[in-house]
Amino acid sequence: MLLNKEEKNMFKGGYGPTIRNAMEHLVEVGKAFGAERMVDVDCAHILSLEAVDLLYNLSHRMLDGIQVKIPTTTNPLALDINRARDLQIPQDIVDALKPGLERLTRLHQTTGMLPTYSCHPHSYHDLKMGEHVAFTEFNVAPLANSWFGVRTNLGGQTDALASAVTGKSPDCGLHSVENRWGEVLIEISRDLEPEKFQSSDFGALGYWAGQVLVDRIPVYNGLSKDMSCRQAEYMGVAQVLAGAIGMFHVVGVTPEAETVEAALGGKKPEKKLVFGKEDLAKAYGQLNTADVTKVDMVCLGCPHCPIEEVAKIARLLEGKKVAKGLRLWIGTSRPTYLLAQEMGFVDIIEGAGGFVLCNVCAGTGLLLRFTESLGVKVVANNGLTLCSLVSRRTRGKVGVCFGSTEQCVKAAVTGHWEEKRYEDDI
Amino acid sequence: MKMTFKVRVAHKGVAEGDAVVSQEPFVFSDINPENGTIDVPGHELEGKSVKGKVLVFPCGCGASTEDWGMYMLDQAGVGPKAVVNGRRIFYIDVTGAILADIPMVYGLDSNCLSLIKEGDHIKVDGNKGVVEVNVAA
Repeated sequence: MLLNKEEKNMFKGGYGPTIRNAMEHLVEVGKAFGAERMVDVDCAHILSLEAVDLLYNLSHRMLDGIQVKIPTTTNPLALDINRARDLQIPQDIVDALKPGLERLTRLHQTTGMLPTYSCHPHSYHDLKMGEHVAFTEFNVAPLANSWFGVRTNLGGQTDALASAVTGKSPDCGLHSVENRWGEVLIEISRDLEPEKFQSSDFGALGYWAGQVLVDRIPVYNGLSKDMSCRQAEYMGVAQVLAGAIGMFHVVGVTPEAETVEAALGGKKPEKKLVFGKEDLAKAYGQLNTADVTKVDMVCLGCPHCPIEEVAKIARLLEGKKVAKGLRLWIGTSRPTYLLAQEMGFVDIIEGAGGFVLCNVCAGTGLLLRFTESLGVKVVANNGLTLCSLVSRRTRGKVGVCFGSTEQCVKAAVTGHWEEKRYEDDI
Repeated sequence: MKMTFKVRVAHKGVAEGDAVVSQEPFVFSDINPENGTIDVPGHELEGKSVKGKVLVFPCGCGASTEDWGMYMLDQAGVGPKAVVNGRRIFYIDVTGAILADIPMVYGLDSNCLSLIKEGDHIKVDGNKGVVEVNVAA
């Protein structure tokens, strides 16, 4: 691997042992992919879930005694201690988690990170198409690649931290333009109405594609030009949960896919596939794992809700009450929370019996940890992260109902899941 | 019968063991970190242990904590001894193999990959880029 003078100096220890360690890691990963050089990365995004000593020590070693070199945002924390009582999280669990959380936020502080604690780093970084970044997190990296046209691999925490302290990443995978071209063309069948697709439909589509394509980059042709960033987010994370696919193209929508030819890099697709009604129904079937319709919990905002989704939830809940004994948790970023508070949405949602949470991962972070102690058996949600992770990581103990935001809010009010689909979704 | 494949190296090292083979993209958090057994109901490898085995699958997928998953399995002494992948590798899994310091190789096309069956004895040489498969009788 060809390193420039600064990179060589980093590698040899001229900037101290922590930077040397980071550079060694980046070189090692680069070798695995046959990278010939490093690229400069402008910003980084890291996880904030190191609760146990083993993982904390791994991250601490990457940051020991130094500051991050580039703007580095942080993903949601596992718990907001101040809201734990509201959420009825048992005190012994809170007490056990508290020192670890404080230790972690202190580490972020002393190393100069941005304590954003949100899975929406694109709200904080000034992303420019074609620039290189180092983002971890399975919804963040695919969205950044596909929607914003910035270049990142979906690395783990160690990769993101190594880039954060050096400002470097190995030039391989999705950093290289030739690895970003689409490989399989997916036409949306005429028996579907993509202009009416809801966020959850995009999730189901991505989940199907991940399973069928495994490790190939899709070019979707025939989706609505009105597709939103939020819908792209649900689609990207779904692909990763089913296959090793770090990005996608949507013809006429995403920045590297003005035309089918551009998205494919002028090459012929390896395969052409059609996504039809049956495929959509099959994906929904796989993701709906609950065998009863009684819902104990509705969790929205995994990934974090943008303001329009909080507004929509508030509108749907206005004048209603959350069903007795049911928990409604909504996760968002702190700026969105403050905005929602100012606009009265937080009052509406919390007045109805739900909780709007910020700085934390309301979905996988909180829920996975507390499902057992809270006695949750069935959770409803509109994103795939929960469907896939909750079902799998609780080893099937918690069932999932997957559908639109509207279906989820209805379930929060009635306590029951209805299969009926609604067209009024974001 | 013995088969030998040239492979690309994701992380160096030499190890051998019996094969556990997944046909689907594999998720490390599907493995119970206490005993190394896959315990997700309905998983194609449900009930099987990866401890001390050579884990063979087309590519990884899943959450951005898969590297932690591999590392924790290794620290608990219940992880696989080596990983063999198909044409491409999941970026996070490379970091997992580095953290766990187990050899990881890739580059086998789906035809070659399909020749490896559960119980075959596999020698992974991540220094030379060679995989030797002793087909189980």
